[in-house]
Parts: sequence; structure tokens; C-alpha cells
Amino acid sequence: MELVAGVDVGGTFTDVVVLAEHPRAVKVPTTPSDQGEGVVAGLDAGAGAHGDVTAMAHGTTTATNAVLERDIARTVLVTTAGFADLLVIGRQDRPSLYDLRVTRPTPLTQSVVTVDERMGPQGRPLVALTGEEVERVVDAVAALEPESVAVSLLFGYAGDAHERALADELARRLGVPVTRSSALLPEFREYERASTCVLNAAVAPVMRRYLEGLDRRLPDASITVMTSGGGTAGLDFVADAPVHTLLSGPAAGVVAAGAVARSGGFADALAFDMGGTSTDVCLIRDGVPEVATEAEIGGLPFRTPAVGIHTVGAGGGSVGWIDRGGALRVGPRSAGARPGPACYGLGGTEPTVTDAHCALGHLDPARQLGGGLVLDPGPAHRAIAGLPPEAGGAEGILTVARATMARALRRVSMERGVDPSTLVLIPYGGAGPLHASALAAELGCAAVVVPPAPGVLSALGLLLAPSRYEALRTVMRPAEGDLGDVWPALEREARDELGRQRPGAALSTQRVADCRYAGQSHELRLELDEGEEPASRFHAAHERAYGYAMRGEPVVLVTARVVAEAPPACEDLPAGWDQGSAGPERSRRVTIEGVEVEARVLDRAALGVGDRLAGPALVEQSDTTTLLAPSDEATVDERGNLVIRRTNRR
Amino acid sequence: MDAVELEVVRHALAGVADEMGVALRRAAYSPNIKERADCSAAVFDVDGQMVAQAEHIPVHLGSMPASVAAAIEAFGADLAPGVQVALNDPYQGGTHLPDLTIVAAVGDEEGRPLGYVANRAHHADVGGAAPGSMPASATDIAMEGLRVPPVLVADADGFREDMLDLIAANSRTPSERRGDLRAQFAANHVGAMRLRELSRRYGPSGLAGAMAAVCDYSDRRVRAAVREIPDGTYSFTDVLEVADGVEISVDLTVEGDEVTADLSRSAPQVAAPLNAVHAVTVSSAYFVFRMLTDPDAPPNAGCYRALTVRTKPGTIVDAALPAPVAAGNVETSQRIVDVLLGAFAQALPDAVPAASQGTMNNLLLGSSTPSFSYYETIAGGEGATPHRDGMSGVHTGMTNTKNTPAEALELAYPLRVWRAELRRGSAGAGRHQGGEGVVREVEVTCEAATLTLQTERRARSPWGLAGGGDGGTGRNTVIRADGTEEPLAAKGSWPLVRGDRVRVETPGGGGWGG
Repeated sequence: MELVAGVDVGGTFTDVVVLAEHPRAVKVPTTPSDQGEGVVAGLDAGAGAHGDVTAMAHGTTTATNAVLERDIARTVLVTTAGFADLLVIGRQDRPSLYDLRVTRPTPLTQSVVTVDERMGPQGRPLVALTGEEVERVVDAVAALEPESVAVSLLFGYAGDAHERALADELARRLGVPVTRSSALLPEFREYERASTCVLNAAVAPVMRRYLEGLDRRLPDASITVMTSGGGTAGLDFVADAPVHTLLSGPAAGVVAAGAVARSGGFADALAFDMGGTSTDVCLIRDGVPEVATEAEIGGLPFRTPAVGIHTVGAGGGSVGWIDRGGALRVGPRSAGARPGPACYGLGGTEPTVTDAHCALGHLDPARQLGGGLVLDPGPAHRAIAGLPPEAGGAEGILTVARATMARALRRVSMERGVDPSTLVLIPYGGAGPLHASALAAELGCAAVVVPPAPGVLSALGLLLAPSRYEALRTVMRPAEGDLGDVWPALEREARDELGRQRPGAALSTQRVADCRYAGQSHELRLELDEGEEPASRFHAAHERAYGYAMRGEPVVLVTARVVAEAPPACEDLPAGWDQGSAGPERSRRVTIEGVEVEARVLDRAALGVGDRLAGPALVEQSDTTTLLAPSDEATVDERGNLVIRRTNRR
Repeated sequence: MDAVELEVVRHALAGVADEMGVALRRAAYSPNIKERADCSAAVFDVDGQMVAQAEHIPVHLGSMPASVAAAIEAFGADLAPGVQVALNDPYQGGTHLPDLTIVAAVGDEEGRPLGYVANRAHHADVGGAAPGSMPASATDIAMEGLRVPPVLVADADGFREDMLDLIAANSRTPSERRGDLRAQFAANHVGAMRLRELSRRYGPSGLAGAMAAVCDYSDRRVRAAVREIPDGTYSFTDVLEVADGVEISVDLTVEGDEVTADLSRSAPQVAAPLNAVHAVTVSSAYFVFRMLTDPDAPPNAGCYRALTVRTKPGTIVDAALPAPVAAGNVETSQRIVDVLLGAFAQALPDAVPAASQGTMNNLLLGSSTPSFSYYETIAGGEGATPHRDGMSGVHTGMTNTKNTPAEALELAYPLRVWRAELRRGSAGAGRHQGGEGVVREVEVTCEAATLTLQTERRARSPWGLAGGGDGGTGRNTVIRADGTEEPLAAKGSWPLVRGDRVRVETPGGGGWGG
């Protein structure tokens, strides 16, 4: 029998969603030294026995953590003579205009070996690479005893002969992973390409070890891994190109948020993932998260498809404080997991966002949290009382946190020219559903859609994500006339690679053209029909995105891409969740947006399809509480989503 | 206003400027605005006090309020809600001619004034004697391009197309100018809309109160920092490398929570484009002040209430007509920063960094056949701080624009980049070492091209502090096709032929501590 699971490893918990007649969600503690232990424990808890699982879609922070903690392989960069300091100079800008404390990140490697060779922009050698030079370079690299090597030569994307000669000999002589830029990212802009290659090389050995361990533990399961762009990929691909997983975790969440929006009948939405230390927001259009071609990690840029997430430093653990100008601030400092918010009773004394909720009665002190924690309002009240009276107490902290998040949500929608009032808000993560109603009211959002299991949405997203592979090549020529020769090779590459990752699956392909007006420096990504010229579509897209088009101006096709997809484990948002058993309805005195009221308190399990609920109310489930303001009305839709709308009723 | 409202309203006002900045970059046509973000947007109260700014480029900092003041001065009551004014005249609210600012008056539904929104964009060409409108040979401002005093560009009936035509007609790239100008109107439109929304939420008098409160808030934060600076008068002089040297001097007085920067001892203006107008000098002083007081305070007029900048008209730091000014913005501004830092270092020895490269190394290459114009500013060494080494190969001071990748440059122009690496040994020594400069070497691959350089710190080093060594001076060289090397002056224009290479070696940063 097919038994399919999505497993997402987060900082504190490993979340598991198992697809069965009634989908189930479980959380187990993350095992940081080897995430695989927690994965197996989670599968045992969710599916009965991990050996029964036939397919697993996986979200992992192995590569992400390796980079952020600099727990990386000893890496050497091989590049063209004259460009030895490519990684240091970058794009020559500084990260903060005024703050001397903020510096650029140190490159992942200081070991650079330069090569006497030079390709021209058309891919023809200007300075030939000799056999002796190859020998000299390989000797020089070997002397540095690297665990991984990145080869990224100037114009290597245009002509790969030199890169191939070096990479082949390095791999043969050294026996370590070699990342070749013309294979990983055949795209122009030398700094961003080299940075991507070095990130890949630096995490390749770490990722390879992790995936091999996972494969040994689950020999009978077919495993796919979430990539930053919101598609899944096979183990072999990810072992060679782990740079594609740097945003694995957040990508899964927004894919699921898109499916939630679609299932509720909404096309455009804002994903709102509020965790302990930060909040991620992302714009969703036509049910699909916005995907960018570039992102960064710890200040280091990489060019792979990546969901367009904007992060702000305000979460449940963010600390409220009064600055020297007399304003109440929330974050960016966080109480973290230890000691955590004061109400955790682990010794925290500073007032956090979670303490504010606790003090206002939004969180049930009687309920157990994960890890045996019990909330204690006493320390929360004391911590908040430590702020001066003009701070506005608990309500003040929530108001300020909301202002920070509202600004982030406005920004991600405005950047694409979308008015937030045309969007629905999809809250998830531990704290999202507590803030969503007030935030949606402030932004004028049409509704809030709380998914059935908001605390494990990323794990669910793993099952909803298609398998995806993108073949690309920088073309740089007029986007008119016959471009027929550009596409077939890319289509072949994309189909072959995804066919290897998902044997037997039905594959579809999509042509994508990154175009710009000649002389511009930013490209627009266009999806093309077969045989369609990019230029005609470009003018219309430019008009839609930027408000005008210049139909007389020449259009350049910068990069051609073919995206191959195979269907996800699960096409639609599953319904009929196993929410456990419901306790009886109760009530509690709480303060919501400054007004003290008696609120109904229900278990999420008590709500069935079609049920209606008017605020003030709190809907509780194992790891999340949803707050309904007095003027809110909610219904449970067919997929089990709680759809909240604000009325004029008071 | 309590602590909570203050923080909420601060985000709301900053959000207006954010959204204007986003709209401007989204809709702009030219790479200079879209990719290098050479633009700014800001919100002002009814008196023209800046209440929020989206910050990209330090040199716009103090000069946006001057633009709004000039628009109000020129139009008075005629600058009513719905009216928009454009200007670039350095002698009436501008900085240098490529920076074009559009100011819009905003009112609520009943026509009551709420304030102003304004945005500024660096236009790649506004005419004049050379592409890019920064000719090195200019001896008066008429040679630098089209001067636009405050003029009415839109009223309640819409845009005045004839004004757009006039500006476009004076540019070598007219369609790009139209695209960028349209983006500037769009940005002001978004700003006006958002300001009206805030007025609906707070009421017009509530909004005015909120604007005053955020400025007071920044003022409190900055003054708290100024009080920690020891009282006294601190003087410093540095030199701009024009002719035998042009001195820029400051007498800095710190008294309680107030600072006065008096630059009136500086040398008279010159017949070369290195003159800074008053607004550029104010921007440079604001930059240093913000860096050393509270870099995170919300950027508004309150940040600078504690600072007074004095200059004398007709000097290199307060140029008068008809002085040319194009490089005042990009080179002289850097030296004013150094002079201010040198003075502050005496008051705050544990906070002030040594001198950074102190130039933007402006490099222009172009020709008419084939027709191309390449402009770049090149990074250098940052001065070491009392707490860390200086960064290498980085833009410092009044600019922060990105470089052009070699792979983009060679596709777009008949040029080839042979070197773009650190210049080893250029950093000033010290307990904390300065940052290294950069070597950039570019070959001409077409028949002929004209090279223009506007560079500084070729004769006098970026200074070290607290016993730290000076950074190395920069150097400009041409390498002929046959391999012979000839030194080039710091400033000037030269004909190059196929196979010639220009090599720019940029200064290193000063070191800190012996």
C-alpha cells in the first residue's frame, strides 16, 4: 500500500504530515546533530513504522544551517587570472549606509587559485588554456588539501571548454566534489555565479553525507527534497546541487499557503508565517508563490529559483523595550528558545510578544505546550509591568508588532503593484493565527483563511509541491525572429533530468524567457507558448508590471529556461483531517484590541465543515490558537479552512 | 503621543516613503535608477520639514529638503494640492544637473493641505558638452546641461506635456527621460494617495501632530547621542587636488546637545566642475553626523535639528553662479566627509574611522562610432575603525552604487576587462588595518574611444588615525597596445585607440592605531 509522508525539519520541531484516509500531523523534537534521527522518529510517530513509508517529501535545513553556522567544507575557488578577489569585492556596495558596525560577510573561502586563460563573451578563447597550466593549477589546488572545489571562470557560461578541462582533471586527481559553474548555473554576471558555485561546493560534502544517511535509514522509500523555488527534486540532483535547498523550509510553507488560498476559492493571497524570532511573508498570485531568480543567505547571494520571501525580525519571542527617543520597540532581539518568553517559566524576565498574548488571556494557561512546557501568566505580567506606563502594556507590544508586520506585508504586495485589500491573508506558524484578524483589518484584506493544521503547513506543502527541474542558458540576443534552435536542447535536458529523478511520471514542460529592453539591466520572466515570440509578450508584461511599454524599442532575450514538472504527491489540499477529540466548549475573560470581553473558547476539532462562529472567540489546537475579534465572523469551508471576515457588527 | 502611537505612526510614515521608492524603481526605465537605485523619495509636512525618507544615496540626504524649500519659495500659495513642480538647478534647490527632483503638494478631499511628497532620480543624460552630463572640461554650469529652475509640471488638469517635451528634447536619450519622468510622477501619485489615507485615519490635525512627533522623536535620539560628545571646538583641514590644492576647512563646535560645523574658512570656488553647492555640503555634513550619532534614528528633519552648517557663498563648499558643479556632488562631497571626520575624531577618538579612499574614481569611456557611453565609479579601501579593519574594495562615504559585472560590460560595450582585483599593499597599516583599494584594467576593442577621468587622492593619501598609517594614493595609467605605460593625470580627457588599456588603481583606506 502507498504510504506518503511530508517531513519538514525546523529549528525546534520536526513536523510530519502523513497522507491516509484522514491526514495526520505530528511534531517531534528536531535532532540537530543528525536531522535524520528526528525524521525517523517523526515517521514512526506519524505512520506507525518508518519502514512502511513508501514515499517521503523532505524539507531540510542541513545546507542552510551549514552556511549560517559556517560548518562547511574546506573549499577552493578556481577562477580566471585578474579576478582573484571576486568574492571579496562582490558588487562593491556596503550593506549599511551609515552604521559602521555592519560589515560585509566574510567569503566562505579565502583559498583562490587563478588560471592563466580567458574566454571571450562569445565563448571563444582569447587566452588558450594549456595542458601545463591545467597541471600547475591542479597541483596548486591539491596542495591546499580541499574537501570541495568550485570552478567558475570568466565567461565560463558562454564556452565551457576550459572549465571542463579543469574540473575533469581536478575530480580525477583529487576525488572530492567539484562544482563547475557552466553545469550549475550557465548564466552571466561573474560574481553572482561564483558566489552560487562556492556556496554549493562548501555544503556539498555535508549534504552528501546527510542524504546518504537518510537513504540508508529509509531504503525502501523514494525520497524527494524541497528546493528553494517551491518544487521537489531527487536525491542525486540535490547531492550534486545542494545550493538549491538553501530556502527549502520556507518554500514548502508558501507552496501550501498557495494551495490553501486556491482551496478557499481565492487566487491572490499573502502568506504570513510568524515564528519565534522572525516573520516570513510572501505574495501569492493565482495560487502560486512569487518566485525570484536570486536570493541571499547571511548576506551571500545565490542565483537559483527561490520563493520571494521577505523576512522581518519580529516573532513570538521578540522583546519589547523603550528606546532612548521614548518609543516602544519590539525586536529585533529575541528571547529565543532559552530562556524564552517570561511565561515559559524558564527564567526569562523580558516582556515578549508571547507574554503579551499570555497576559491578555489569548493563550490558555492550563494547556500543555510541546516539550512539557506549561504557560505561567505570572512572570508575563511581571515582565510587562517592568516597562514604563507609557509603553501601553501588553496591548502596546501587540500594536507595535502589528505595525512592523503590516509594513512588511504592504511592501511585498506593493512591490508587485498589488493592493493588499484585494488579498486574503493565510496565517501559519505558531503565532500567525493569533495576529491575523487584527492585521487583516489593518491592511483591509478581504478575509483570513486559517488552514486546518497551521502549525505543520510546511510539512503539508512538501506533499503539494510538484517535482521540478529548470534547464537554462544565457542567450543574449534579439528576442525576435526564429529562436527555434534555443529551446530543443533545453527541453531535452529538462526532460532527461526530471525523468531520471521521477521515473515513469508524466512530465510537462514550460518555456520561460527572461527578457528586457536593450540597455535595461533588469529582466522580466515570461512564460511562453510553443512557437511564441517573446518580444510581443514582453511589451504587454512590461506594461502590466511597470505601467508602460515602449513598443518601438528592441527586446533582448537574456536567459532561456525550460521548466519541467511532474505532479506532486497530492494535487489538492487534503480534507477530513484527524484533529483528535474535542473537549467541551468553555469561555475566558480576555482583552482583544483594547476591549475586555468574555470569549468563547473551542477546540479546532469541535468545528466541522459548514459550522459558523462569531467572535469574540479563541479556537485552540495543539500548537496554535486562532483569535477572533468581537466583530469577526468565521465559517469552516469544505477543506476544513477557517475563513474569517470582519463585519460592521460590534 | 505615547510610546506605542509613536512607533506605529513612524512605521506608517516610513511606509509612505518606502512605497514611493518602490514605485519609482519599479516604473523607472534606466538602469541607473532601477539597478543602482540612484534615487530617493521623501515626505514633508506643510512647512516643508522632512518627516520620512526612503534612503538609498547619502548625497540626497540633506538636499531633498532644499528642493522642497525652493519649490515653496518659487510658487508660494500657487503650490496647492495637486500641483507638481520639477527642478534640477543646483542654484535653486538642486545638487548637480542630472539629479531631477519632482515635488508634489498633497491635500485631503476638502482641499486642506497635508504636506508634500518629493522624489529625486539621477537622469543618465540631461545634455551638456559630454554624454552623461559631467564634462571634465566645464568652466561654467552652462556647459553641464539643461538647467531647470522650479517649473510647474502638473496641475489639477494633469501633466504639462510641453515641459516633458522640453526636458526630453535636451537629452541624448529622450525616450529614457520620458520613462523615468513618468516613474517619478507615479511615485508622487502613490505617496499622495497614502498620505491622504493616513489623514483619514488620524484626521488632518492628528496627522500634523504625528509628523511633528516623529521629528521630535528623532531629535531626542540624536541629542541623546550628541550629549555624549565632549564639548569643545575641533578644527580640521584637508585638500582637494585641483591646481596647487584647494583647502576645505571646518571648525566644529560641540556645546551640550548642539553641534555647529562652520566651513566658511574654505577656499574660493574654482573654474572646474568640483564646486559643491550648499545643499551638497549640507548632505555631506548630515552623512557624518548621522553615522556618528544615531544611524538607526528614523530619517527626518529631527535628525539634524541639533546640527548647524555654516558656509560662505562663493567658496568651494557653497558655490555661486556660474560655477560648474557636476563633480562637486561626487568628489568634493567625499572630501567634506573626510574633513568632518577629521574634526570629530578629536572629540570622539574611540568612534571615528580613519579616512576612506575619499574619491569615487569616476571613469567614463565612450565614442560616437560605435556609439556607446560607459560610466562607472570604482570602489576602494575603507578607513579602519577603532574596532575593526576597514573593508576592501568597497564604496564609502557619499555613494554606494554597484559595479558593472565584466560579463555584462563586455556584452554591452567594445571593451574588455583584464583585471578587477584588490590592490595589495595599498591599505594603511595599524592595529586595525585599512581596506585595500582596487585595480581595474579595461581595454578598448574598437577603433578609438575617449577616456575621461575624475579622480582624487592621487597626490595626498587617505589619512590614518591614532598612529595608524596612511592609505596608498591612487594612480591612473594608460598601457599602449605595444606595452609601454604612460601615467595619466587625476582629471582629464584623452583619446585612446584599439588595444590601449586604462588602469585605475584606487586608494587604500587609512589604518587605525599604532
